[in-house]
Amino acid sequence: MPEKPKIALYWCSGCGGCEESVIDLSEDLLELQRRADIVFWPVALDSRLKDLEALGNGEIDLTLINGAIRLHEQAHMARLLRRKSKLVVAHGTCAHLGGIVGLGNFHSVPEILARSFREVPTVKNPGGILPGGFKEDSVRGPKLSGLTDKVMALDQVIDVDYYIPGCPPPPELVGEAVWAVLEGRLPEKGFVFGDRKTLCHTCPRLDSKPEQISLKGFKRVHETKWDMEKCFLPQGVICLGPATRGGCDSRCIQANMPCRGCFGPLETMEDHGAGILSFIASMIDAEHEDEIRRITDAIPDPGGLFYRYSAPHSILGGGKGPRT
Amino acid sequence: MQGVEPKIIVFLCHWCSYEGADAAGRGRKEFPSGNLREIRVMCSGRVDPRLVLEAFRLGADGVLILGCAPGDCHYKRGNIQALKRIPLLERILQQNGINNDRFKFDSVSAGDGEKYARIAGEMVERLRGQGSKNHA
Amino acid sequence: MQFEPVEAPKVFNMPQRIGVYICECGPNIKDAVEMAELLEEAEGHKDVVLAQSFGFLCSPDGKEFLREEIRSHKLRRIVIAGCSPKEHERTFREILKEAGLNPFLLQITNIREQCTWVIQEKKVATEKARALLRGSIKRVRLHEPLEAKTIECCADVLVVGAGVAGINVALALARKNRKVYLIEKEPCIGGRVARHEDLYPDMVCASCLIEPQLDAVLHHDSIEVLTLTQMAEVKGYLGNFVASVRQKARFVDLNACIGCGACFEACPVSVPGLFMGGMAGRKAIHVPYAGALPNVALIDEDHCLRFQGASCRSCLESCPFGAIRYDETDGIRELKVGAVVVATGFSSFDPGKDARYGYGGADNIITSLEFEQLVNSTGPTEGKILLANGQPPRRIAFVHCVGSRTEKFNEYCSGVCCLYTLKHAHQARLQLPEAGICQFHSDLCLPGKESQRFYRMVLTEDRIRFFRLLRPDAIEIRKGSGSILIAHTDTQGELEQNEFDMVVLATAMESDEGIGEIAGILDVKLGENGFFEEADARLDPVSTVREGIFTAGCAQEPKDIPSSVAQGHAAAGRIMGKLEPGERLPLEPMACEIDPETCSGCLVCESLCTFKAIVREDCEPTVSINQAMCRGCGVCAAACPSGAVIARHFSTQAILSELRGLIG
Repeated sequence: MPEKPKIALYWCSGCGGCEESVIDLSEDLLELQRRADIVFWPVALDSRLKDLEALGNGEIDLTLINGAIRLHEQAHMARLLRRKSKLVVAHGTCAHLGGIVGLGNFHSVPEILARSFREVPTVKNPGGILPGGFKEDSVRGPKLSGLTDKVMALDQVIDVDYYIPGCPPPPELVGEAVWAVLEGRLPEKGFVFGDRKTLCHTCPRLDSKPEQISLKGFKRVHETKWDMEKCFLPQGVICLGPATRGGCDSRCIQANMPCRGCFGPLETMEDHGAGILSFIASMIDAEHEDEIRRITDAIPDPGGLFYRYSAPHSILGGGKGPRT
Repeated sequence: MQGVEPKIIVFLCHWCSYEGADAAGRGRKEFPSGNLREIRVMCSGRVDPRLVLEAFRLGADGVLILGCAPGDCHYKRGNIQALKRIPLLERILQQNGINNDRFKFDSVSAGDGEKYARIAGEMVERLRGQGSKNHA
Repeated sequence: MQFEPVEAPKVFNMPQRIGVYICECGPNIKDAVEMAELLEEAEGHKDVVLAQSFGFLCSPDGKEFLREEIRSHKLRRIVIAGCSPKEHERTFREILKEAGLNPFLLQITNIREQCTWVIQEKKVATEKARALLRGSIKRVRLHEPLEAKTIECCADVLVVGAGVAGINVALALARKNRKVYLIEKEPCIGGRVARHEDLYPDMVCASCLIEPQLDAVLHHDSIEVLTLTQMAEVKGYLGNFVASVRQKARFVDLNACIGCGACFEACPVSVPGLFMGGMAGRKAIHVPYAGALPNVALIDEDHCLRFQGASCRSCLESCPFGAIRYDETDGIRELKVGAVVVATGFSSFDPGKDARYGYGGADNIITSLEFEQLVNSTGPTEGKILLANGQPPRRIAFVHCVGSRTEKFNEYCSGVCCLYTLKHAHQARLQLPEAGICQFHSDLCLPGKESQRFYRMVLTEDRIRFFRLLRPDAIEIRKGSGSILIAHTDTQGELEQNEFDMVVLATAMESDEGIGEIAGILDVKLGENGFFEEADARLDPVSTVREGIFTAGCAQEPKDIPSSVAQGHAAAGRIMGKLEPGERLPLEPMACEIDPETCSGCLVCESLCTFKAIVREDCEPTVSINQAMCRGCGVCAAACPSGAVIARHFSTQAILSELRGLIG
């Protein structure tokens, strides 16, 4: 009997949503189980590191890695899995671009640790102890993996073959990628699943997007009501659809929420935030600096809003990590 | 990162500020031109945020975008489009650890070599005082 | 994925073969930098096959040298380091062309104005020059051989408005046998000027002045005049407009009617005139005024009995030429033209909007245009200045700045009213030697070579009394018992009251009331004051931002007759410079393009384009850029959130490559 292809799944610094997206393959998951051998999947199976280490180089046909690289251990696992796999897919936005975890790059590691373990009002840590890996506060007992200096997307640590965008990716997209590989329909290296165009192209509200949008102000989602049939932008609500890859079936739009950009930018726009900044600025109805500033000051955290999912992959990377 | 002498990328628009920079040259103005790296575009409105971000990533200590004065833009409103991007870009840079001394948008008309020399000189002085770029 | 600039366009498989030439510019560059270091820098780059310095590259020797170099070394790209590209980029592009290389495969590095001329220390100048050179070499690899494309175009012109400006556009163009469609919404041509009597400052007869032009326009082979016609829709762009114009029915054959007036006699319907209580009425079939051109009758549908359902045939039966056409209908014509000139003139401010002027509240308070009709020999009183009761006035007041120079209505000065008001006062004096004639004004605007002299004459010889107001609107006019009372505040702040039996209000020139609709049809912006916005207020006042659409006369801003005529000539000149019959129109080689594979149809770029060059595609939600209208500014390229705009010659990749050379 011919050997079934081997598949591995691993999670780095993730929330589990990407794992859910695999579970949400539903009956197709059974089909997957029938067609392939899942040899390593810590979240769902009793997988051991030593079993993985025992595999030969390139023995795994397809590995899906989700989550960003925030710990040294995750970088180590990514490299290990790369060695053991023929194809590695960055599964989900954190692996693709750094994801929400990537927002950590706007702060330094000491700042993050201090905030989490010392400053947060609900923490009771009179000794000011920080988790292991730091000499100044080393605790007796097992050493925890230290934080990398900056959050990284998967391809900033290892060579990646394909990307499945989305936070989490629609299960259909995960299925598309997995079947493509299992059926030998390999796309070119570096391929990002999803659409070739941004979300406006397939958005159900595109017809109500006017040619001219002139805004005297922006409204945050909790500050306003909006027409449920019409494009968000002329109503003053920031939707990142124009700058974000489509292919998600406009799920958020259909749930009457503006796009938050989780599929990231197209290949032609190397910095998601830059693309967003440009089109947001173009909608401002003011010609003098003071007025423009007043309008944009209403956006409390442009870095967070524009780079919510892509900070590590942006041109400046969030800034706090050492520059490459 | 460059040593002590700051290197500043200056985006100049073909019609006004590039001409102004040339005027500074013709007038042999005294200013630290050695710290500047001028780059010509047709309109300041062409300067998209990617160009500014990449300049800093490559190691520029400062970035200047100089366009036409309001009302003078050869393409009517290109300089206004450029201006609209500036406040948000400033804040993005700040959140990325690049303080606002390092990034300015201003206008220089075609004959105003004086103003070019002054603006460029001021930024160089300011950045010399700050030492090399850091992630404060 | 981190950004990696494309090092060489995939299209070009052949090696780049870059030649780098450094102009010594005499001692300007040679002595100011370490030339050997610069050459070494250049040679160190991949694809640079040679680097050389030369004395003066812009000299005839230098140019010949370059041409030879390109040919003999089979160079594919050229970097020239020397003076500013603003000096010689054009020159050197020509050289490339002559040597058989596409002129855009050149990058100029400015190491003079922006380097050696402002840096004293050789070491620093060399370091900067090296960085600039690196930038140019990296950039030039990504230059594409751009072609200067051309498109077919039509050189015919549509002129909207047959007033003095429009007529002069038409005549100027017709002199060069350019085909002109001159459309006019009224039944007759000549606009305002044809309804004037005499013109300041030399009191020349207006109709005598303009008649020859009106004649010429009506008879010129190249000019087709369409009266009762207005624009309905205009599509297209410079050289390729399609204008739909709507022509209203006249019900009289233009070619058959000679204006003999037999039909007026026969017509049973009298229509009272709109002037001063019904003066100078007319019949339902009429010519607009005595002497109107074309001298052809028209039927007024609102009053003609046939259009109320009756079966009157009085005019038809009385016409010796069979010129009546009851069954004529409105029609639409499509005109293919290359340019459109809007010369639709102005409207007068309605003084009824400001109660202080008392307009409409009493007889004998009239506007200057109405006064002009009074003094007009073809007007309702045959040129006699009369009150509503038919008597000549004994005390006339002329009031300046009605609706002008006030924040409440129009902030601007209308420029012509002071002079024509002086003229009116002069005309009044000539007719009424004993009448008391006064002028109420806050300032006097009198530009022009002869104007001061005219003013002095009116002041001294005509014995006109001038009352100076504290502010342009420091005046109150109301009906008294049997007279009109004017109360004004003088420059000392004192209130004074005077009585008159006729008051003439010099009303502001405003944009024509239909201008909003016209601007909408042409997709051209109006300025703050409601007039057309010019491409450049000083250097190009007759062009609008939309290429191919021009404006002349008072549609652009209030002005006098000589200026309107001058603008008419200017517009004609601009058009003749852009459109030549039989020639193709050159397009901007550095125009931007949209990659349809990437464009999502988000329309961000379309909203930004000042030149309206970006259009939506019909079947797909994407856009494309009209290459005839794009000016290559690249604002769309910077704003596109998908990175779908290809900015030719200033692509993002090219600029980023240059950046990499400059730093790092």
